[in-house]
Amino acid sequence: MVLPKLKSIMFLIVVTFLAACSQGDRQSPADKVTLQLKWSHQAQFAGFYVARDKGFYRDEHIDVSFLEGGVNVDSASSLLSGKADFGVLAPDYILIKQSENIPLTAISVIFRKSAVVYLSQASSGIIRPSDLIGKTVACKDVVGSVKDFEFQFLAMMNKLELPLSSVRLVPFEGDFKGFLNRKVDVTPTYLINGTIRLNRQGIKINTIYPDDYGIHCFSDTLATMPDTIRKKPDLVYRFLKATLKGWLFAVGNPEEAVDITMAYVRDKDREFQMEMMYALVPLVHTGEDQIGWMRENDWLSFIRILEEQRIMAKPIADPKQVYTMRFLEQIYGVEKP
Amino acid sequence: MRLMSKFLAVLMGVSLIPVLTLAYLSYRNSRSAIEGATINHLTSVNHLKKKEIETWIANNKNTLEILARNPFFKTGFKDMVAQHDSGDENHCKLHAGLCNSYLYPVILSGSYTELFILRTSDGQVLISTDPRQQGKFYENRPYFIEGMKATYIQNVYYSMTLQRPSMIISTPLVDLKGNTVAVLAGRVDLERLSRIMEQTSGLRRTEDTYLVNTFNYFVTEPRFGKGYALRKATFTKGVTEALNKRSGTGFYLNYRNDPVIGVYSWIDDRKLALITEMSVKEAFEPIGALRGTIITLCFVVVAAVIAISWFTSKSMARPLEGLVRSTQLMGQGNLDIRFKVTTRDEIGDLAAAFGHMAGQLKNTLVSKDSLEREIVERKKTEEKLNTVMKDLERSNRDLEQFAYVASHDLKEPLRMVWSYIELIREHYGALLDENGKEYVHFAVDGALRMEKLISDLLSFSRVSTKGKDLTSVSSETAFEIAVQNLQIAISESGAMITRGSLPVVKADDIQLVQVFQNLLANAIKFTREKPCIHAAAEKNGSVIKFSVKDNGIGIDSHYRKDVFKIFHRLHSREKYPGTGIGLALCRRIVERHGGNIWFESKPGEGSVFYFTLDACSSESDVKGGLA
Repeated sequence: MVLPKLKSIMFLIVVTFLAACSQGDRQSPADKVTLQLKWSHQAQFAGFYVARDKGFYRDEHIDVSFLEGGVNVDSASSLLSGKADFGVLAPDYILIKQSENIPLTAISVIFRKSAVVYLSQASSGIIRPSDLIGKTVACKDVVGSVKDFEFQFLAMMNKLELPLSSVRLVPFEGDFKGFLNRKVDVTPTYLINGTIRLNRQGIKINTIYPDDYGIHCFSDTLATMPDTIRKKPDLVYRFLKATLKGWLFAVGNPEEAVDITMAYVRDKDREFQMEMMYALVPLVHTGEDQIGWMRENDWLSFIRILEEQRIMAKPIADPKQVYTMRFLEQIYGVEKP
Repeated sequence: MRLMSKFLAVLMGVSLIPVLTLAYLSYRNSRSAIEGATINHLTSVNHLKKKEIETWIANNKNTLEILARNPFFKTGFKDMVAQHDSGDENHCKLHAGLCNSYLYPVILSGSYTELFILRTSDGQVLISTDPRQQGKFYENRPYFIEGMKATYIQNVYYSMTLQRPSMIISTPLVDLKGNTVAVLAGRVDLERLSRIMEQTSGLRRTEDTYLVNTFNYFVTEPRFGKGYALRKATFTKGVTEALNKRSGTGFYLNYRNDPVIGVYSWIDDRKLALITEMSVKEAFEPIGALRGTIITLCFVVVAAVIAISWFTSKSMARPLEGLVRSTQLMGQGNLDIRFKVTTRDEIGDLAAAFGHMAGQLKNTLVSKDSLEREIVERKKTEEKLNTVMKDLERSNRDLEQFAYVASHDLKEPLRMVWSYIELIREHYGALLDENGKEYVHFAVDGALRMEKLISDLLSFSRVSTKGKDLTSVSSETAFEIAVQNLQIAISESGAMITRGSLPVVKADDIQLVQVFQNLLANAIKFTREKPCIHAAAEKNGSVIKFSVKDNGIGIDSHYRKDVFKIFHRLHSREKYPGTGIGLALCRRIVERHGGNIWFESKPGEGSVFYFTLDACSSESDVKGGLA
């Protein structure tokens, strides 16, 4: 009678030990992932906040932290130095770095349309690019990542075969000073930011959207180092999966997404973040394909624009090096929906 | 359990169970009926909307296609496209004219908000009813790419250009040779779509129909949401099911988290989910009324049941309670209860039976009471009697003792008196004169008499104090001894004594001799002439009656009792000497033996003295010294 009892006790101990071990496996520290943001915290990154706060990253066993971007932050060096594992970058930035032999690989495009627009005061009568002849446009590149203001404008003028010489280009002003006092006729801005601010100031504006004139750009792109893809493909997959889930939730529930965002932003103007959110939803969710999806044509057209503008150091030898569909296809399936 | 509670329980059971069952069944039936009706209604609404959408789109498509078939587009338009120059004012005027003559009339028909023509070469908008759109390039738009081939419907999408949802139908403009010259596109009036969705029967407050695209986004505004179109996603069960290309119905929470009955269907052509919902609350409102009715009915039934059971139990319980009270009172001994029998049913019978029982019980108790009283009285009497008897026996004993002691002790001083008087007479008799001698004689005579009295008294008392046990005695022997003892008197008087056969009796032999002796002596004494005495005995059962008959002077029957009293004399001592104790002694002895003594006599005709003694049970019992 004693022996079976002893046996069963031993068995229990072993089982408990094994259970504890497997538990331990599951409870091993989550993969720490750092995401370099393109700009300071705002609704622009709502999907990431949602994915974090809603536990989508945790579900994928990822512990994410965010690094704010800004004028003085070089996202590429963050990724290169290993300070960040992923980055929310401008596609032109990725292409430029690629041409500089700094390999960054896009895994997903979050803002599938560019948020860059060109504004004129409603009273100016400027409604289309052809109206810009002889006008002053504040789209000259200043520093860092705001390159798209200039190259999209130039590409648009080029596409429409409008003579650039007839347009006076002045540096971009973040505070729209020249625009407001009408020294500047047209200013570029982001739909998700400047437009809202100007609207709030009660300025009546006309919008020229480059996309309507054949300049099909996109914006915030999620990228990582080729090394990371090679070494930790599963992590990349899991990170992207959770991220897209976060964005899907954010665009479907903008108010809740903003509520979550408000915990991150310094500027506590919720209404502004809300308007930003509403403005960015169509960029993220275009009604075509899936959220985060990339199309080769878009990349090619983008590359063409940059090449035309001679922005890159050298042409991109193989566009396939710039982005990979691998993870998107892993998530959504190979077939386009 | 009280009668009332029992009635209540039974009646409740009997009445409420069917009512509740019926209520439940009707509730369930109504519910399923309403559910069915609601689902039917929603389904038909859903179907209707689907048809309306399809019809609306088909109509729009037709409108556009009819417009595209206009001869103008087949002939001169080709050149116009080729010569397009937005900078040329004349051209612009031409365009405006074209717009006015062909496009605007269609806009006015209300199907489209904007109609525009795209150049096939680069997707540029050559002409638009919205001048602001002219000159834009839509070369990458599906409606342009597909529209070059055939009529194409681009589902609702968010137009960045317009910053609002948009839906476009496009169709190629073909020249007479069949070459596609341009694409005619029309932006359909989505408000119409929303209006189609919004149109309701008007009877349902919460009926809601809306479209959801494959990204789970609202395509039209739901009834209870503003600005939802392409801005808000919904992941309700209905939407999910519909997006999985399934049609059906279900109960689930809608986009406002309200429980709804939903009918969903998938519009495959449009890749849209069509959802028609209605709040469960509203759908089942009629049931609420029914439920109210049922609850009211239940309350009424309960009230009625309570009232009925109250009245019934009262009417049954009242006589019963009366009965209970009466029996309680009866239990306390009050048998004068009158049962008020008011009902003619079994309870009335019961009450009557109780009343009858009470009456009977009362009678029984009354006789019982009198008996008990009698018993008590008798006991008291008996006790009193016993006490008296005891007192009597004691006093008798005392008296006998006293008599014995007195007579015994009196003898000594008397003998002394007598002896000394005798001494006086002997020694001083000579000295005494005649008077003196006479006095002495009187004194001696008195002393002698006194001695005789004391002796008699002693014998009287000795009857009980010195009596022997009763044994079988031959009364003949006793009689003969008595005769012998009286030999002197017999011979002096010349009496003739005869006797019959005398039986054996149970007696004290000495005392029996005494009785015979006394009776014989009296008979001799109270006979003036020659006494003739006859003794006889006759057996009467277990009792022997002795008789002593004489021919003496007889006794007046007046003295029947007096003759047996002690020291009682009927005659003077001078006439008939004696102490007067003889018959008293006889009586005492006979009574001691348990018999009686009496006489029959007439003065001058002699007397017969009778006495009874118990016969001896058998002759063999005869023994004793006298035998």
